[in-house]
Amino acid sequence: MTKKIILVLVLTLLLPLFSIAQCKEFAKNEGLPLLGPYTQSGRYHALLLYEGEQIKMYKTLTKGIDYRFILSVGDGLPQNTNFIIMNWKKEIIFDNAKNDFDKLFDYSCQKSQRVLIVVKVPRNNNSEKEKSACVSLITGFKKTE
Amino acid sequence: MKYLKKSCFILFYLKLFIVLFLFSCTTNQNNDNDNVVETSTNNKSEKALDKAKIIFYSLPSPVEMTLVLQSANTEYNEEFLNPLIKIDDYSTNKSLALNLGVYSADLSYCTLFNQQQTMIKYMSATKKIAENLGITDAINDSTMIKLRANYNNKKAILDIISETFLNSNAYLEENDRAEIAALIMAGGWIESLYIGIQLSEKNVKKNPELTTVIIDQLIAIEDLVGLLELYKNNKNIASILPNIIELKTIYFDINEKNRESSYLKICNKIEKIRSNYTQ
Repeated sequence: MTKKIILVLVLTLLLPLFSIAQCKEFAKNEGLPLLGPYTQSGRYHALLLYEGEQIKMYKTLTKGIDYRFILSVGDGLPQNTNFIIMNWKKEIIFDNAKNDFDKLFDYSCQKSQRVLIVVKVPRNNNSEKEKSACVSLITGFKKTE
Repeated sequence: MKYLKKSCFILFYLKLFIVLFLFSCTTNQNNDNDNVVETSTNNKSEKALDKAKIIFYSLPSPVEMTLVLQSANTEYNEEFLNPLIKIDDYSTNKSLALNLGVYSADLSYCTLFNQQQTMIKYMSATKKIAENLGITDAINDSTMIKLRANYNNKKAILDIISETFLNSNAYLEENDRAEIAALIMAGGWIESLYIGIQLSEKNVKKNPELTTVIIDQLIAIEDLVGLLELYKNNKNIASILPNIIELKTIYFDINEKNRESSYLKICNKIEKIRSNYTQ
């Protein structure tokens, strides 16, 4: 009995680490191949999200650089996940709800600025059990030609 | 009876460890509702029910920073790199992490300026530091083979460097060592700026395009402070945070009237911080 309890506790302990590793792998397989000519920015922003949860990412963009933003949403979550990029004045640069929930956005930066990227998984009020899946946000860059 | 006592003892420590572990995992979650962003799928009830808002701070990587410096019509100078001879002086997690960032920026700089021989040496240095930090998978022998195979392909080399940076960060985050990844980011960002200010000869008029790039980094410093503050309870992060906050204050004082003197202050502060990291 004690052995079983210890096993359950150990598994509970390791679960968050498995989900981090699993979501990084998800980002690697789903997001990275979409970078094309862009160089990835050095970090996977990937984690397990539930319906109704939201990620915010502050990103510095530099003048003279082109950026690509790639959102990947795992199968368990609604694919109409909202993806918005705003400038420092909270003016919307991109809103995928107005672009068929597109998950890829290219931006040529003309002026250095800090943007806020918001990813919001919609809540499904009809579902009895909250669903979860990996969500990743990958950015790439290249010199403006 | 003795067996039962031993089991209870193990269970108690396991529970304690789990509680501490779960507490440590919530450091990058912000439960404040002050910055809730109205999105197009939101409604009032949803907004009220919003769960944890997880915040990321994404600084320009060393490769991105040096690409920006190169865009500003600059030249290569090997004297700006942190000498490889210092590598054996770095033994603590803090000095190893900061200098992994520093050498990554140096590596990007020499690659962008087609210094292949130096690039190989600096990649070997970053591999050694990464190994000493316990990041064995990020830069391995196959990385070095790929690097040599793409010796003359700058884009491919930059992708390899970025990949090693990505793998290091991923490894550290997966192993609950995200504060080490934050130190690497800080080291890389400071080194990129250090190279930039040396290229500008600390003179705001020398290369206006370059100084604009450096001054524009006041946007990024806010993200660096945000990133470091996520781990401010870590003693290594706490030890570097005050200097970064001082740099932020100097950055935010700059205006058109004091541009020349403030730029010099920024340069001096960056030199001081870089000297602390690489000593």
